[in-house]
Amino acid sequence: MTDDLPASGGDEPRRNFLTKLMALAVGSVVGLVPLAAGIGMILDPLFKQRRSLLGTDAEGFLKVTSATSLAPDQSPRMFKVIADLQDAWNKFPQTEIGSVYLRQNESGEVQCLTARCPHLGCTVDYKADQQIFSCPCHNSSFKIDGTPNNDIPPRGMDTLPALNRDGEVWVKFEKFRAGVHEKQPV
Amino acid sequence: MLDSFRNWLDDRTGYRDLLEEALNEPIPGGSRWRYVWGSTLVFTFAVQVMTGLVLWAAYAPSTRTAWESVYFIQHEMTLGWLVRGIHHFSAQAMIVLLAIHLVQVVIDGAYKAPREVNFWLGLVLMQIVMGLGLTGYLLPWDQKGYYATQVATEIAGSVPIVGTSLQRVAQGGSEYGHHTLTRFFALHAGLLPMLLVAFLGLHIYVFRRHAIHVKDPKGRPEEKFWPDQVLKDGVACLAVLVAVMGLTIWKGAELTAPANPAESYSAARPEWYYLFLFRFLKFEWVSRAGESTGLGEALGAVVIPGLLMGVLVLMPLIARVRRGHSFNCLYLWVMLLGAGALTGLAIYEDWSKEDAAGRDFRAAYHKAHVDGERAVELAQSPSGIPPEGAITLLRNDPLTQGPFLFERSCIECHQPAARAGEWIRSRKAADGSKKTIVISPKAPELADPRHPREIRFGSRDWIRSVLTNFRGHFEALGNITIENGASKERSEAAAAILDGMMADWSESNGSVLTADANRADFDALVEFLYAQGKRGDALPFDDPQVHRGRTIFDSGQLTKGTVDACTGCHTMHAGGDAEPLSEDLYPILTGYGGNEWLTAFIAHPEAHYGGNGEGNNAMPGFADQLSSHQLDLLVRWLTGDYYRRETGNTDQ
Repeated sequence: MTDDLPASGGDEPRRNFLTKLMALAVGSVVGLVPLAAGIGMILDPLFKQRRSLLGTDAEGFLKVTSATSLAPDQSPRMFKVIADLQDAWNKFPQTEIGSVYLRQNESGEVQCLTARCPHLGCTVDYKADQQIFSCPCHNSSFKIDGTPNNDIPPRGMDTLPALNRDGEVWVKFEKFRAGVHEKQPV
Repeated sequence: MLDSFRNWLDDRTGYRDLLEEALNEPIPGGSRWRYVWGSTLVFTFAVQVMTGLVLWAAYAPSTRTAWESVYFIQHEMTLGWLVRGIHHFSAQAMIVLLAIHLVQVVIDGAYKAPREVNFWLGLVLMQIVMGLGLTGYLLPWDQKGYYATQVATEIAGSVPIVGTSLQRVAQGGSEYGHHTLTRFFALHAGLLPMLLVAFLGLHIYVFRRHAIHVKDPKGRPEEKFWPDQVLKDGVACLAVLVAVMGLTIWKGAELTAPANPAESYSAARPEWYYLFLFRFLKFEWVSRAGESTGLGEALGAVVIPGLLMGVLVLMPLIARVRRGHSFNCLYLWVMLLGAGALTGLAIYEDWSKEDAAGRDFRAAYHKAHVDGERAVELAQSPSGIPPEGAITLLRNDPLTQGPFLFERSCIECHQPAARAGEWIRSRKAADGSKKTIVISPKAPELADPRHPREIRFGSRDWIRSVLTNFRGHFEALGNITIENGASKERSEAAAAILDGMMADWSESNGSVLTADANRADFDALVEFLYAQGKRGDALPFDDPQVHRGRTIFDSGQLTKGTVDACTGCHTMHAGGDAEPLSEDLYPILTGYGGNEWLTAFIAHPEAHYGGNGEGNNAMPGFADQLSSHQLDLLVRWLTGDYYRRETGNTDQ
């Protein structure tokens, strides 16, 4: 860039070159130091992993509901997931962090599907009359077991590990990347 | 390839002309160090924009999130302390550089025709920068910024006619609240920077139009802005940056306790560059003049500074008359010296002057500092900052509130020995003259709120002293006399304690306890009593030493000799035991020195001694003076039942 500049002085080109070099160096230092500090702070989320969900058990499970509140006819019901949430500086005790669909299959096992659409993250509705899950955003549609009904979603609804512990339903609540074929935790 | 691209770009944009214009400005007489000040100001402003945008991305302006988000920036986020520190100290550097720039322009005569307009643009920029400083000071919503800024908005409110409306508009209502912050933030990060950019653009444009003002161009060859002056400017900016970084690392940007309208802050001061105005308003004659002119505080805070600024505005016109320039220079120096002297005076009075006001300021400053550190400690504790905001952390903190309550309700009787003589009362004597009476302590020293982490009450030393030196320990009760204003009932109760059975016990058994052969037994007895309070550093109930102490308490049997068993007089249901050792005896020692015991004792001391008025009531009950929440905070402070950081140097 510097050679675009019309030559100045000209009597002492060597001294002039040195001055230019030093001016550039000093200019870079004073500009880059505050910039680097700022960029470092903006990139904080890449440097610091902050545990946001609190109150899970050692394996990451949360108590969601009691087994008796599941539908007796194997149809899914939506339940809110409640946990202690650490959000930046605040600690929110017992706050809603998401929702899941729970159903009991033929053999009595609890199946859990996250309500987040794998397409682009909207919350999926359950249409009891048609026995399908349907996303209000882009019409993703899923069967009762979460497998896709049309080609809009890239994969089926994400299953979450669920356990029946002495009549209590515990779920390992996780979020997965939307818009990709593989199920990858966020 | 590159050349053809450059030619194409130049053809479409004309960037070469722009660069030529920007960089090759001729400087008659060559580059000089005295021209760097304007550039350093542009530099610091650029730094403020950069760091300000980043801070903006982490700041949440509301009364429940402002302090909290700034705390998070300062203590949790990557390099947050650095970015905030640079922003904080660059703001102050800007003020210093502004002053230097102004002096430079005036003494060099650079404000004179044809550069009058640019001088005025510069004065506008100065006001904008001062405004940025004022609005920014409030944003952390800490005690310091909150109370300092209130003075500014109160001044706005004191302006005749429009004052109240002005204050309401600035505050977003009649009181400080969410909208005060959103408005100040909009000013600080929106309107004022926008104005600053606009006026800076004009300032630089007009500056280039008239070229640099050279006082004495003769004798030195002309140079271009690039690279000679750029290098000097760069070095000056580097010096500024080094100073700012140095202050950031050495001192750091402060964050005092979260703003609390109920908690006075006697150390409220504006940022240092407003101290001259602050000190000016402290002169009584300024207030009197304000009163008599009907302008109120606005006279000293707005009208007089406005008039002084007005002279500054008129400088280019004044310079036209003979000796006008000399007057201008003199005026500016007098102004700066005056402001400097007032600033110095304010600093001296606060930090060095040995009078009541100075000491109060320093004490309040120290407390704000301690509270700020405590708020951070609590914010970092496992319970974290609740949704109601960090203000609740200190409000519910025994270590913060306990000393305050103690100082208010307890200390006049339970005086710390180190502060004896501090409590006085003036009384009118018979001849009408005023007499000062030193109030004597009426109960044993429990703690000194000035050293809130050292509690005497219920400590092992306290227990030893009660057991072996009862009369000495409770000596101050002797001051509860009718002559000192105590009721007959209370003075009799106090006398009964000092002449009572425990005093006799201590006198006759103390030497047995302190005998060398019984040292371990005495320690065990103390440890047993100490364990009953369940304090953090007490031994568990099943510890062999506590067990040994329990046996001595019950039997009075020591290695060498015996003492009268404690269970003969005191109720004790020892911790960990299913059955009580003794019942229906007073005073009760079950849970001695712990939360429950002390709560009951402070609320109804006489009940601890066996009934209404029947037992000992040398101490009045506090059930109706303290709310249960206050009582809880006071008690938990005295028993040490509050959060402390596990690995900190402030605690142990």
